[in-house]
Amino acid sequence: MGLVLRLRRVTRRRDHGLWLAAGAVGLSLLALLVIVCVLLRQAALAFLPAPVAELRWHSNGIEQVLLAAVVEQDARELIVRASEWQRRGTGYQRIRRGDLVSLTWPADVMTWRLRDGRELHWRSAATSVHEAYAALLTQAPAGFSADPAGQVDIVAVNQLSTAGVVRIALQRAWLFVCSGPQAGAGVFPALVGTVVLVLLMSVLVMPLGVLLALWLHEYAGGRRSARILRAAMANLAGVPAVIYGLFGLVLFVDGIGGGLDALLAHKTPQWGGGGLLWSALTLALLTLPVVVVATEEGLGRVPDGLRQAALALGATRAETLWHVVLPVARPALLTALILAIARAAGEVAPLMLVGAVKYAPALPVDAEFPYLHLSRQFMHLGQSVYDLALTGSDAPRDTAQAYAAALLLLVVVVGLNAAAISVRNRLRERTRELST
Amino acid sequence: MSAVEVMPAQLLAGLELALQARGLSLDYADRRALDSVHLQVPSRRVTALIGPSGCGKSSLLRCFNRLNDEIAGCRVGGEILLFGDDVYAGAIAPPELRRRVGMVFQKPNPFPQSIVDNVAFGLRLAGIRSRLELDDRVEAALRATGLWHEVRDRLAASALQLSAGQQQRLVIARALAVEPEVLLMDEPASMLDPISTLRFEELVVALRERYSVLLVTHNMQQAARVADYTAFLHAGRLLEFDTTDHIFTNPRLRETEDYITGRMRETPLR
Ligand SMILES: Nc1ncnc2c1ncn2[C@@H]1O[C@H](COP(=O)(O)OP(=O)(O)O)[C@@H](O)[C@H]1O
Ligand SMILES: [Mg+2]
Repeated sequence: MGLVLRLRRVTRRRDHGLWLAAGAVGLSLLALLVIVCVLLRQAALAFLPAPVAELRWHSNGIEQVLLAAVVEQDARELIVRASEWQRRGTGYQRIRRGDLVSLTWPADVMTWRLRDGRELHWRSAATSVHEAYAALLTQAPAGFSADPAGQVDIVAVNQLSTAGVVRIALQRAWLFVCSGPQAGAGVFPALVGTVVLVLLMSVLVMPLGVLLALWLHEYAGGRRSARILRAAMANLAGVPAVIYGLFGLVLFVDGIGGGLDALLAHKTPQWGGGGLLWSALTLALLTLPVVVVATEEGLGRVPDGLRQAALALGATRAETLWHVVLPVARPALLTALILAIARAAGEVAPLMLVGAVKYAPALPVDAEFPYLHLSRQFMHLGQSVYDLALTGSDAPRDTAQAYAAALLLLVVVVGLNAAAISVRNRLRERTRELST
Repeated sequence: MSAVEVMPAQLLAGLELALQARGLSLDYADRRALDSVHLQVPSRRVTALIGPSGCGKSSLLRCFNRLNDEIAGCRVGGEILLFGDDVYAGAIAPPELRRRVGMVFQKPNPFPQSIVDNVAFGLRLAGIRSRLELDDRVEAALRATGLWHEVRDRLAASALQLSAGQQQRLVIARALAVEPEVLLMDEPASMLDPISTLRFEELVVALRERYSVLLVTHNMQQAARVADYTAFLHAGRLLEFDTTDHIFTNPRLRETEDYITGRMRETPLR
């Protein structure tokens, strides 16, 4: 209370208010910047080629030699990742500093990152990929074989220039964005799933939310049912998202989906499991209050004179709404959509209950009729972040990739919002004179 | 109070009556706004409606095109006749009525659309789809309001770019486009500058040829300049109705005289 009063006293003098406001803006921007920087820095670890050391150490009196990237180190020991000849995540070793004889960075180390995310290190002064591959085969353990065809990601990792490092990092980042999970946790299916889900949610929530808002604002007046609905909306907005997930599971997946399956006599559940449609509906419910409140506010800002003008020209109420009120309120509808997208795109918890999965065999959209597969399970960037960060088998790498997926999710949210905002601004341009 | 008391007998004898209010009363949720109003609006004449703010002028106007229907809790009693047909009896549906009885509001309220679309709005609602007919009637309406020459080159421009005076003439054109029989105007010139007001008054005089006009105004000189008849409304009652000359030179009631001479008016003469 005292603080508020003091702030008010300070803000009354104009300059101080200005400084406070500028400070608040600066602080918010700084926070945003820090978040983005942290994400970028951590995500970069997933893509930057790590230099490879040659380590020599004693183990039970025998000298060992190993080519490996140093993942972590402290005063007592090193954790390194050597070539992963069999599977991703199998090359980790722990070496005590006391046993270490030497640690050098030979210039002729080659590193090959395979499509599945494995990395192989060997020494060769070869100048062509084929020569380097031939050298690799001489150093590989018995039984190793891999097809290098089309692979250009064989690099002399310790000799890379800065530009080379950046080029490789960008290449790997691109591969991460546009390939599937087979290729070392690419997130393309999750990216598609997220975008399709948000678009479908928008298509579902907007008509419903706008109709509700129209009813509330234009027809219901001060009726009891309207008051109840408004109170319900206000309360729904505060319900934790995961509760919506439970609700969606009971109502959509088990209730409607299960019912559909029984009705259509499906032997294996098609609708009775989590799926894209149920997830989109759950998110639509989640964002409904936001849409209704923002739309109603927009309808309230439509000048009453315009309604009167339309009615006085012989328009029915419905015609007035359709031809005058809604077009004028379009920017507000887009604001509602923007808020809905912002809320929905980052939501993960409810989706895990109603359709998002760690690994989906097929994309929710493809070239096969009916193109959009509403009953399919799908992957989602938020789910990917969760899986990579908490359930990965290769923690150092997966954590970095979790940050990369988070960054991508951020880009998707910002991108979808920016698209909606630019449409809104173009509409505003047209109706700007109205407010004066 | 009966019709006989407020107006001289034989005043409108022989004239066709466009609008008639008989024993009209109007209640909002919490107060009575009109009390047994008798008013006759002759066809093809300009009738001015004057009275202090809050006396019920706008409420009365909204009865004639049933715009009061849209206000929750508003109840209307008595009779309204449009060329002899009872408006509230259900013989005329409100949209149809409003096409026959146009209305112009105090604040210019063009839609945020192009100039053409504004004028064509009522026509499209009436089901006219032919491009040719729309263009013709839009042009006729804009000509009737003297706006045609000012906007013919930018018909597709936003109506919101016009000046206030032009906007007010545009919404009049919009109302005229559907060819109503009666035009209700609620203080239409109160937000215009003197020059625009002058043009507006010329327009009203010209409209008298084809339309019956009921004009609410706070400007006594304006009423004197454009109206054939003037009605004085006070506290929800119609106190006096006569030719404009008579009302302004020789009112019968003390209240009318006080209002006209400014002793009872909040807004000064302009
Ligand atoms: N929509 C409404 N709801 C309730 N009361 C109203 C409404 N419109 C007008 N009134 C009241 O009715 C009376 C007459 O108003 P109005 O017809 O607007 O007067 P005027 O146009 O002569 O200034 C006023 O007391 C006003 O407060
Ligand atoms: Mg008024």
